[in-house]
Amino acid sequence: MSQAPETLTPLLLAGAPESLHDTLRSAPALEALLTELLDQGRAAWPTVALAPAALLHHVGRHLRAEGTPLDALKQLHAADVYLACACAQGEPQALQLFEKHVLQKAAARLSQHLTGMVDEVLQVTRQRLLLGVHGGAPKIAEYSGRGSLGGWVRIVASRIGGELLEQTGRHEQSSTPPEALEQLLSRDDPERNVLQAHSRQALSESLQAALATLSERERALLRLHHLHGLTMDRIATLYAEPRSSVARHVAQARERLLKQTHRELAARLKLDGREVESLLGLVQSRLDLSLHRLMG
Amino acid sequence: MGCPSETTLSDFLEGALPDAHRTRVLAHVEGCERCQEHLALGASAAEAVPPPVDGPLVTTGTQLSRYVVQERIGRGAMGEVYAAHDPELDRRVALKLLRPEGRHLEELRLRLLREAQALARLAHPHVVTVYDVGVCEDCVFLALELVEGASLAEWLESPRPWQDVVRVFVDAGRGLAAAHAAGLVHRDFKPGNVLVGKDGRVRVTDFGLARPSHRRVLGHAAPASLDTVTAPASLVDSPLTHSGALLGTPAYMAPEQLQGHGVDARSDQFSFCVALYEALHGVRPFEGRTLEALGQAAREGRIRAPERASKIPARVRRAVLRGLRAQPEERFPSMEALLTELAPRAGRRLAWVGSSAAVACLLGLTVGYVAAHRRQARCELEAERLTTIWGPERRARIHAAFLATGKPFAAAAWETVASTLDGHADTWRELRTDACTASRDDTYDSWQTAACLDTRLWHLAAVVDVLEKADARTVQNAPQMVASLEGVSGCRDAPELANRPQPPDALRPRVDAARRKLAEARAHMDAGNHPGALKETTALLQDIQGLDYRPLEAEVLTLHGYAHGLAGKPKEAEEHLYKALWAAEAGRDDETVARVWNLLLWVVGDQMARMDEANRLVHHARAAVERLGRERFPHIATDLHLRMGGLLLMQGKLDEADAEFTQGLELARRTAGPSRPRVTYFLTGLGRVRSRQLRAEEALALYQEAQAYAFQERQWSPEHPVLALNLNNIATELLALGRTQEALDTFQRSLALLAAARSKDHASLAAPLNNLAGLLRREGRLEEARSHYARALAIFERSKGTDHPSTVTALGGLGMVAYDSDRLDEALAHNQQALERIQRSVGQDSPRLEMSLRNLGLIHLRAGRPAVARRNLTQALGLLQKANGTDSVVACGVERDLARVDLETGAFRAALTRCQRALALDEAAQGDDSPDVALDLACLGEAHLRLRAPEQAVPLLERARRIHARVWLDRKEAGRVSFLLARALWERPAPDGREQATALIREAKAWLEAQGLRARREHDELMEWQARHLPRVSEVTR
Repeated sequence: MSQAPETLTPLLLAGAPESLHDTLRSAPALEALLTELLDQGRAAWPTVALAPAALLHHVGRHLRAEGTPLDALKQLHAADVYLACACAQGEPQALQLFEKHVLQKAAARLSQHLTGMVDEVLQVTRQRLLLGVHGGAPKIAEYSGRGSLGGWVRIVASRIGGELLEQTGRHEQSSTPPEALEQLLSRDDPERNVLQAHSRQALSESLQAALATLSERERALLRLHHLHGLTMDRIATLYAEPRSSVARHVAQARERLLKQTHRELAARLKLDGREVESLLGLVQSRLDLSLHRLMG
Repeated sequence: MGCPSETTLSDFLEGALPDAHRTRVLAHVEGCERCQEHLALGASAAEAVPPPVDGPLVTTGTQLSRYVVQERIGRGAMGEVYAAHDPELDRRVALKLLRPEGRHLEELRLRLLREAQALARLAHPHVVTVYDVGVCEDCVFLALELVEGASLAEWLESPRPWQDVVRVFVDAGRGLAAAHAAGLVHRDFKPGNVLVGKDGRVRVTDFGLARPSHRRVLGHAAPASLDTVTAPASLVDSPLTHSGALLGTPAYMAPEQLQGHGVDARSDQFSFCVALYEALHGVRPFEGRTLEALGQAAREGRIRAPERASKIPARVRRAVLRGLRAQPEERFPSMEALLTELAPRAGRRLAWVGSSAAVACLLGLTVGYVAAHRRQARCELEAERLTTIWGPERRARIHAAFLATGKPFAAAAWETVASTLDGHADTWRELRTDACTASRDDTYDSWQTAACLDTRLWHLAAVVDVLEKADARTVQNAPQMVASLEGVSGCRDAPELANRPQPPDALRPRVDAARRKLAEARAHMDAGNHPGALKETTALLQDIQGLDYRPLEAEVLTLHGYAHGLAGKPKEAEEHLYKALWAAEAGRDDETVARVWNLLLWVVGDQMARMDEANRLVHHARAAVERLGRERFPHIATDLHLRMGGLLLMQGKLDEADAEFTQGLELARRTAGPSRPRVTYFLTGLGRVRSRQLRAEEALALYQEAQAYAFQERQWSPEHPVLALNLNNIATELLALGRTQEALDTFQRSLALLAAARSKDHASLAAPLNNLAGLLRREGRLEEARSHYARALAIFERSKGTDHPSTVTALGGLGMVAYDSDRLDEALAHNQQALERIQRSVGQDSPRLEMSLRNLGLIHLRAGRPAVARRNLTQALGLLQKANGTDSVVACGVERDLARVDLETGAFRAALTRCQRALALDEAAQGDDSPDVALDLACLGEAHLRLRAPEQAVPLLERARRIHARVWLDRKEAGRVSFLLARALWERPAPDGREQATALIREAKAWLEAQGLRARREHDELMEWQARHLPRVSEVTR
């Protein structure tokens, strides 16, 4: 089913930024690359009918004016972009497959975070992604193919979830970093229940105060890793730094948090050193636990 | 920088951003927790989801919960529908089974529950009924009414006359309207979601997307489910239906819904009109190959021309087109308004005549056949029916029957009855005529109104029947009886609330007949004829067997149980009320559910004093009333307040009882209709709270207000026996205020009223007998007091049971008469038994143990066991303080008793401290001159005297004596104050008070002698003192 040479390149150029045209035209392997792209999509979704022009226009449109377009094309998630583009065209089979293979999988993931409202989130997500508003293209046309379609959809859905929560008053408007980190001491932790109410209060206040002394970057690192469970590899990608140095930053942030918490606690509670240690032990063991789990 | 786009975040996550851009995004993300969360979700590895199972979820014969699965009758992406058999009720049901494929079971269960709740709120003939919802292993199911028939989509496949099409749609529209009235929007109305039964009844189904209509999120529609995904029945061959698989059914969606804006009842109206247009004209109104094009066509109002020429009236066509307007505001304001336009006129009129003729037959009235075209004549005839029930002749007969009873209160009762029934009848006639003439414009509402008015007429007819055969008891209860007639204006204002659930047409004649009988039973009950009511309800329970209409069963059982309760059979009442509860639950009859919980509170708490259990029932009752809506059913809510207040009062939880009565009073005052008479009861309830808080002035004022209100509302007449109970309460407060003579008179009046109206051992006599006994005891008339207490005790034991707090009070009183008579063993036995009994009914820790413990304390003290006495009293003090706080005036009585123990054991300083505290509290709470203050002062005076500080005792005792001089309190206490004062004056160093002392001794002696046996000890003490200090005086008086 491959296209004859020289037929696909113009279709790509029709969508691609003007500044890339020369580079692309002079790339000898382009036609083969595009053929492969098309074939990959068709192989993944044999029942989905999509005109090559539509796919390549979509792909071209998402090429960045800077950088090396050929590398970008090689790294493209071909099957994902094929499906997304067909959905943007309103292709019925594609819509059903999208529902089954992308949305339903996202649902399983989302339901851990947005208990009780996944259906709402999904429905709004469908509407946002698949319906054009006021004559415009559906939002799914914005999918570039650089990341996975599933991840992109989950980000969209996560945002919608946040908006819905906010609208229904189920989510505080202001950010609440200390409470979030404090969840490391999970609510039903039996040891925590043993703590006296005033110690719990003091612990909570101390953690908040300690967090406030950290830098924004340190807080972000702790949250991303300990709270959200991002792997060190992923964080390394975000920071464009070696994994080892990111891991060191995370560990340093954790050390500083513990030290500050210790100081705050001792000031707040007139406990002897041993008791503070045991209180703090709770924080520490929790952090360590998650550290091991996530770094392993 | 604002939050980056999803694509940017996704690229960031993949490391696919150019470096400069990445740095900017990173800087933002570090400070934005939301973005961190989104990234976390985007980064997480996709979880493997098992592909959908294609085989059936369950096989024939499988048992799910109690249902036995039969064949599969439908299948959707999310679940399947099976026919199943319910062996318990021996009926077929439809089981909608959902599989939790890759989704959390909890999530699904929530969704299903939401659907079940949505439907359960809708008991309507045109909405499919939900019987049950449950979870079994990894499945969630919903048991629905199984409708034998076809979907509207299938029904429409055969050619139909337009009149039939409109009729079916109007019925479906009523189902939608009912949903809207319950605050729900269907969101996916289409022919596939409407069932046309073989019986011809039309039902709207599949409320899986339904959501409360007030919730709007972000302006985006957010239906709660995917339920319609690839539902096979809904797949019509249109290019849209495939994508429709993803999005509900876009072909029927309103433009605002397609655009993801807010959805409300008017969006359903649009869907309804799309379906109706298609059914009438053979084509969908809007054309569009894509969703966008479809929405565009709707927004621009480009409607396709009908495919086939038809004779559809312009009125119908116009109405449908208006429902298809792009702007919701331009459509009809409600489904009802649309239905009014659509409803065929001739058919409506015929149906109307049919229904009223049926009603007329049931009423046993002669109503001539009325031609359909003669509306005016018919409307007059409708009103005429009333005249046969409440016309001049029957009016005269009832008047005569009333007077024939020869009861003193008959004339006043007649006045009340006549004016109430006249007013009721006038309103009824007016509304019925209105409904009749208005039915031209609005068929559905007027049908509801008419059904509602007919039910009210049955009740009226039943009441009048009973009145016509009035005996003394009926006359006595007549004002209450007519007050129980539910207001007819509710039928006009909110017929859907004023109406009981209506049966399917096939059952209607039998259900209506049963409901009329039920009205008769209720009339008997309101007339105080409990055996008569019981006979009716027992017969009815037989009659309705096999009828299988749960709301009716619940109504009958409720009245049956209530009648048992009123007839003094709480055990049976409880049993029947629970059966009523189950029937009401099964019939989704929330109103009856709430009523029954209220009655159970009364039976279990008030009548049987099983407090722990009653306190658990409270949660059910509250939840039921909450679900029903306080404001929608104010009389049920006020009922709950009344029962709750009584229950709390019984347990001595005064503040809580106060709050409950206050809330109820506020609600009853601003509610019209049957809640009005409750104002009286709330005022009385508050009075009882004040009385227990020792705020006698306020209590008295509240009782008096209650009485004035009841007179004004013609609820009571000055001769009415119910008034006796209130007089009894008033007398008690008068007594507490020292207005003894008034109290005595009032008690006598109360007893006389009761004696004139009731048998010697009627339950209502117990309370005034008990209170009068207390007064007699205080006057030293011990033999009379004893016999009154004994009578009260016998009546209480029989009517309320042995352990009821009221019974225990009478038993304790009897014991204290024995104490006064110095029969300490008998006193002890009675009060020990009283303590055991009260503990059985209210538990070990209730402040209601106070009376028994205090009595025991006094008995032990007199018997020379001060340590035991102190133990009893300390326990009472602890209980009171636990319930009311440590500085509550309620505990002052016990404090004084303890001070008495202190005085007798030589702990004078301790007594001084206690009585000083009591004095401060009593002064603050009851006023400087209150009777209890006199008691505190006497205690203080005595303590000072014993401490050899007569100078300090004198002014205190003088103050006490002034209080006793002003109000007639316990003469034993008064005598004691005078005696103490005499001693204090005598012992003062200055001799100038000796003459006065001599006079005081004489005064004290006279009062104590008058008390006889009761004050013998005090009298002996005085005589001994006198012999030592005033030999001359004693000789003279001898």
